Amino acid sequence: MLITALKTPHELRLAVPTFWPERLMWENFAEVFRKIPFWRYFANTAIQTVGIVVLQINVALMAAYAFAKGSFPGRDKLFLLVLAALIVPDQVTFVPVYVMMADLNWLNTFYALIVPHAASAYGIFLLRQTFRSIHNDVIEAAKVDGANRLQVLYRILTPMALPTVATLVVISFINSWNSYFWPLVMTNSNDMRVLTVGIAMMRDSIAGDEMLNFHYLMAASIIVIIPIILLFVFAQKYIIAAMSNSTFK
Amino acid sequence: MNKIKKALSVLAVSGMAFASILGCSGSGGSSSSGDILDAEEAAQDTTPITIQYWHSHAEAQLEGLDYMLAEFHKKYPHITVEPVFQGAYVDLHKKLQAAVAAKEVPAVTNVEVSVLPNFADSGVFADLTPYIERDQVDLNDFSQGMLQAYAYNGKQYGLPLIVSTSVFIYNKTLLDELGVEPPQTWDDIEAYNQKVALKEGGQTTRYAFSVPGWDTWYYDPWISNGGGSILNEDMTASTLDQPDSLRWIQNFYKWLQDGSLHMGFGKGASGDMRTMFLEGKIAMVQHTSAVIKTYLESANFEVGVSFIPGDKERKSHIGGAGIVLMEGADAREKEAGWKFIEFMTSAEHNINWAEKVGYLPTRKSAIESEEGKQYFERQPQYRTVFEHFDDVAPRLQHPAYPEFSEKYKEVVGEMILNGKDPTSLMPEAVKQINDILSDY
Amino acid sequence: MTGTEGPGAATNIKRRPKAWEYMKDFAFALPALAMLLIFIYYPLVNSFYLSFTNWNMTRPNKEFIGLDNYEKLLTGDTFYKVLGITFTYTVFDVLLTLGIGLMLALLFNVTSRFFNFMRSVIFMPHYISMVIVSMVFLWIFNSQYGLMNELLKFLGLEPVDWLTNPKTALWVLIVVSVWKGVGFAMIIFIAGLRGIPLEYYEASSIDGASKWTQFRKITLPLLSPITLFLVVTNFISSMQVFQSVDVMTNGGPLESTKAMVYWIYEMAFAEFRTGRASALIIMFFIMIVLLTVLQMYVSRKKSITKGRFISKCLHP
Repeated sequence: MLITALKTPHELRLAVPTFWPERLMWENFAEVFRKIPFWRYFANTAIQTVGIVVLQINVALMAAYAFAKGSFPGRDKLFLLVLAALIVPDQVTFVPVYVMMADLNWLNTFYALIVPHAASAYGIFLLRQTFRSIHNDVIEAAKVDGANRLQVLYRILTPMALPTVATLVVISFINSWNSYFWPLVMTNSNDMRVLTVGIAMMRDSIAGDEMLNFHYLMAASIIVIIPIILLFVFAQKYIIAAMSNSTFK
Repeated sequence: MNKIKKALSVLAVSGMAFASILGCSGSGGSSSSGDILDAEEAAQDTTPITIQYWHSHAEAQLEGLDYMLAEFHKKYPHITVEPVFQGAYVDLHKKLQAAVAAKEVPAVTNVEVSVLPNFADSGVFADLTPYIERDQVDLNDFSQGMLQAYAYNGKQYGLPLIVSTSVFIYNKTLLDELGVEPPQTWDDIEAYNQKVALKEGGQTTRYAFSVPGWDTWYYDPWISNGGGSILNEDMTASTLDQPDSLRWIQNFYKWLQDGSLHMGFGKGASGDMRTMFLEGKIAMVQHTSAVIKTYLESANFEVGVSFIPGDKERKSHIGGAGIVLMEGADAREKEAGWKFIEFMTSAEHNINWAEKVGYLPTRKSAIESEEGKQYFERQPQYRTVFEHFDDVAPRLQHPAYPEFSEKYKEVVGEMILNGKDPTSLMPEAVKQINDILSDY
Repeated sequence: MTGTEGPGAATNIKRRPKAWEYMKDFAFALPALAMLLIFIYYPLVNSFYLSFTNWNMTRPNKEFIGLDNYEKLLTGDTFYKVLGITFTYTVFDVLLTLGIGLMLALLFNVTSRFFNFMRSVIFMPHYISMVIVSMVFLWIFNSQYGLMNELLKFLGLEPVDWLTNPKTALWVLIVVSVWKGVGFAMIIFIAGLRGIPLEYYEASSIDGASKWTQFRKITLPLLSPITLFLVVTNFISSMQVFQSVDVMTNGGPLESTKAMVYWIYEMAFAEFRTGRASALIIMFFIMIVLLTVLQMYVSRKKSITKGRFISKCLHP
């Protein structure tokens, strides 16, 4: 198992060349671009991702501020409600949401892909932890200077919690980039597919008999993974540091 | 502040959405199926319209589809059909259900033949009869079995589009060498097995034949060919534990035990079976006629096709998908959708379409035409199937079939994977099936 | 946000501004709460309602059938079988992920170029889409051309029908999940390890404690909040296993990988029983809530007693 855990990321990238000759492999990549409207899917994925990230971060910042520093009756009970949302998977909520999206005429639009994911319970949880570790004096001082809540949140607290915010951006980016089930359900047209869905659709079958086109699937998968690898290579130190610092205080 | 406002407006909108959901769902449907345009009106209306066609056509069939779409557009320039691939049949069906629940449906879709009753039962598909009568489509020209498969409770809900049936695909080179013919009756099978199966030290190195265990479609005809049935006449209880209904599986069990029969089960099993056949480890496989093309292309030996053997009767079941009109589409979409359905199933393009996608022609006039004769010359393997044109029968139609068929499939799985005796397992499966039936 | 918040204002008039302040604070939590209510809790309430009906999604009207759905589920065998599979999967997934994650953390908790690189390599899969991971493993474990069987053949072993054998299929799913999850566990554990003051180890070394004793008496207990976090998050995500089942096994062979969420999905969409699937959703939701709370409760208690134990050891 240890060996697998260590080896497979390499194998994953090497999977195609180890089984098919080098020359053929590049054709597979070209084929992927021919088979699916790659850039269209790429743009869809990017819009979905950016939309979710922006919304999630802002909603979470505000909520975290309210739950960490604000005071209102029932605050902690409501926070439990937020936490409990963590345990509900998409697969059990999507039917009513789908019907709701249809009634709003939001199916096959970015609204359906983005809005239902506006609140991230995990993000709220993580930011609340970080905000709680910031001393109240800082806020009081700012208030004395005449800052309102939004100013306190965005000018004072957010910069102080920057590592956590950055981590959240990365996590939320990756989750949205990788999401599959939700966009699969919420879109029915070729134009609105995202990369993961488009690639899974490449699995070909005739009358339930799966055609073995793994080489295309692998090539396509590699293309999708690349942005994630880049992001990861670029941000990993940051992520690791922030995750370690913010989660358990 | 702005954000809050935005959020609040979303909340408000969503709140309204709630109200409409919670309120009542009955008010939705706009048009009923009866009021269709008369022939003249239908011909005159040429305002441009775009309809969606949801499908499960595999990659190999897309060329044929593109051709048909282009031809259709030539004939009806005002109608644009947007094809949307929705994955394999199971995925397509899930999409359809969700679409119906949301009341946002395509005009035309594929439907796999075995789930037609369920959708039809819920009123999801439009009855085509008024259109058929108006445009005087000659239904007698269709293979009757294929046509019946898309009728339910006396209404024609769809027309056969890509029709397959399960056949035996055999290694002709090998069987010729051994001097054996593929079995035509159950009685032939023992002798066939004796000559073809190869064993080394108790291990089978070459199976006489293979029957897929992963889909009930392959062994449902074996049940009825052996004189049995899945359900009783009025479809209130299962008869699978009756002696005649057990003959097929008892035979399979015997042949599995003596190592002459191979049966695959579960996901990926069809790929395994194909590989073993192509490598010469199985001499003959029961598979859908839709993949004859694939076998012909990839085998390095001569491939033959034979109708599955019979006993008390000799039938094989219809598979593949039909093309149907969605009840929830509006009247103009339906009109355009019907034109598309009529075109896709027309005799004119029948042979061409069948050959391009690797499925069977459905029209008698097309098969008997000059084009049809040439087709059989180019595709001699399909001739066997058409010699049994009238033995291709519809499947059992019941809305709960997708659910209860899992129960006897499980018995088959237990037999294949764990070597259990099916006779002792079947009563429990029958009990479970009856339980499911009691809800309908 | 127009209210003036001068320092003097709050002290003089207490009641009304306080309510107003509450409102303003609450307004910040509102977007998140509203979203969760609409997209998580409303669907749950809706499922609760549907669980008493025989709706099938495509039929326009639904009939009330009382507790029938619950009764059918609880009296049938499948419910318990699926529950068993889900728990088996969850227990082994969590244990292996955390166990291996901790081992890797101990192994790689050293800063060096090579170890940094290894950590990244192990962490990486956490960030790859589960659909893609599943498709890759579908290929790796393919019985005819998969990498795994090539490896076995190379080692002179019999190839295995990994995904078409009911005895191995669930384990393949567990392996996939562990492979994807250990990196995250490792990183979190390393963070935890680095948070343990070195003096504890030094002090106990002086007392002559062996490495193993140190691990048992210092490392493990001090890691327990982190372990709790990982247990809870991994538990929740394992219980929800869906994607890999959907892509790799479809719940088979012989229902051997039919985990709860997949079953719910199948019931609603392949068996046309949305009402009954809703009943399952409700039971499943309640079950996870209870189990999560139970875990937190048990671990809290345990870690408190252990914490006392450590302080006793260190400061006798």
